[in-house]
Amino acid sequence: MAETEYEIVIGMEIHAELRTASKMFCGCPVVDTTVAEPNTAVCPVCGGLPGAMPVVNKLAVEQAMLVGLALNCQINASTSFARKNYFYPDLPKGYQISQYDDPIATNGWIDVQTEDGGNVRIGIRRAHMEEDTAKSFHYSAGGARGGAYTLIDFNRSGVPLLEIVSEPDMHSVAAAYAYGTKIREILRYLGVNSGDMEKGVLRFEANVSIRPRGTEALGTRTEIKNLNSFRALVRASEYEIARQIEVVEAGGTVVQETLGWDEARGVTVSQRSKEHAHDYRYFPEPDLPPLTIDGAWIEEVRQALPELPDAKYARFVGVYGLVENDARILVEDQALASYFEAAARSYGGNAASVSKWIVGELAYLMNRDGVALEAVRVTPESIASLVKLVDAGTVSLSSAKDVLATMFETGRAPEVIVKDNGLVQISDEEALSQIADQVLSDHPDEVVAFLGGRESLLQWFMGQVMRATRGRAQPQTVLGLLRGKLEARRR
Amino acid sequence: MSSHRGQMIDEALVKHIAFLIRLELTDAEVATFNKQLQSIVGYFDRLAEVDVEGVPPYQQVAMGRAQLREDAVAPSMAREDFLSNAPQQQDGFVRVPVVLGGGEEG
Repeated sequence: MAETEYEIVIGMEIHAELRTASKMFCGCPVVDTTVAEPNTAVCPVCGGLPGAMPVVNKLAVEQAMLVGLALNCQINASTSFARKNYFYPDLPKGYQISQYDDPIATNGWIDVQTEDGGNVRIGIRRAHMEEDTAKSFHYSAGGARGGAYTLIDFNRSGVPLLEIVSEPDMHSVAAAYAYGTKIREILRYLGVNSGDMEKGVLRFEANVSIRPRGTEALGTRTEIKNLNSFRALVRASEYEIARQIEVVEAGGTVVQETLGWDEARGVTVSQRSKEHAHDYRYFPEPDLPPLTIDGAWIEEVRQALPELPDAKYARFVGVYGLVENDARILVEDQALASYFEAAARSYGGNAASVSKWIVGELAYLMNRDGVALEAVRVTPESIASLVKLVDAGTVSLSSAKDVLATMFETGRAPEVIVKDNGLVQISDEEALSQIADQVLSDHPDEVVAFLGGRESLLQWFMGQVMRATRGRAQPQTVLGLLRGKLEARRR
Repeated sequence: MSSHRGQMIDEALVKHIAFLIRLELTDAEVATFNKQLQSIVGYFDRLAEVDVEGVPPYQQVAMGRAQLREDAVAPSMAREDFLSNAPQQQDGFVRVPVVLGGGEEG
């Protein structure tokens, strides 16, 4: 049987650290765990010392509500915390405070765009609040200190975490990728997560299964944990799908299990196969009463919802008339989108040309020099001025690119650069006519060749005029003049 | 919520619970705890005999917005104090035996 006879079914769990100053249940600071000295942001609560009592961080709850609303979820009027019990040294209390029966948000959806330009609606089953675990560093045997051991940093223990669980609505790895990208984008828009996967603030898990195409029943799924990059998500899912198909093709059955992704070897590895390892014995957290969320509170949070990526995209295409590709690139980065809007406001006219300069030349310069938008010296107003100079014919398109490069390097205003460097476009027909005459009389052989049928020489003449004017000639005018003069010589 | 609600205590369950909390028990200890747990759980059976007809179920007092904590940073512990609770430490970390895998039930 060929691979295409199977349908892929993927559901995702996304763990997103919320962006608070203090932890979920205590006042310890949330620190960058890739930088901070280990175990410097720990207290009796997040360190699991006996007798310590958790107190819920209000901002974390509000950020969770914000995400729930952005994902079109219902925010539950009563939501409670539960203990998830398991034995692991990254969990100092022996349990994780999480949510079980009544998570804060349920039954939502988002639309994601696939490569072929279509929309796929992905269901959101639930989003629940919990606390992050400590970070473990495993060292294998044979080092200077003898046998294998693990070092633990509790700085991350107790950091507020939101787990977003999708329905198994993705039927390709591309859809899973698109979903992950969309969630990341939404979280960044909401300001509740930096989306910086290298810092570990956003982690994916993929539940993967296959079934014969055309059948309804879900196949046995495997769960790939701790996918810390989009690359890992894609590679691990592809690997796992191929592995499952191979198992089924060989007449075997897929075993339900938790897998890890070995990035170096490019394979999934079984982590816990014993069924009882999943015996989490959830029970209501005795130290925290259920949380009541009234309608007024929900409305207050709803007021804080920013314009989300889909709405912004629709507006950029509908109101500003941007081409879809430009709109998509701008919307991907909220700061860039704001930059564009500021430039569009300053420009006043058809902003499609402004977006082209931002998405094209400005983005090119930023990439080339590795400059982030915050550090860009070209203000939105000055890029609008530059586009106006081009519109007015004051500067040619090719000169304008040089002007922008200078603006990028110096932060100077385009009008000043144009004036100081003598870049004002020559659109005076009489002046250009003289230059065109000069070019044609300087190159009699080419003129003969052109008249003999080598029409492509028109562009070459054009280049000569541009060279003579150092790129300042108004191209349309020059083209018209050259055509007229050459045709005149034909007679 | 627990998957063990209504489950009878026996030696196999005692061993399972011991595994979940990574306790090593001798056979004699398993027998002792089996007996003790059975008698504790037995008390709950007596509760089931109480007539609660017409008595509304106990609701835990809920908390609202006002009971939550503002997102303000408070001082953490001095690292040496925190680490002094750990049996082993190394370079500012808590050091533990290797923990890859879920362990085996004995």
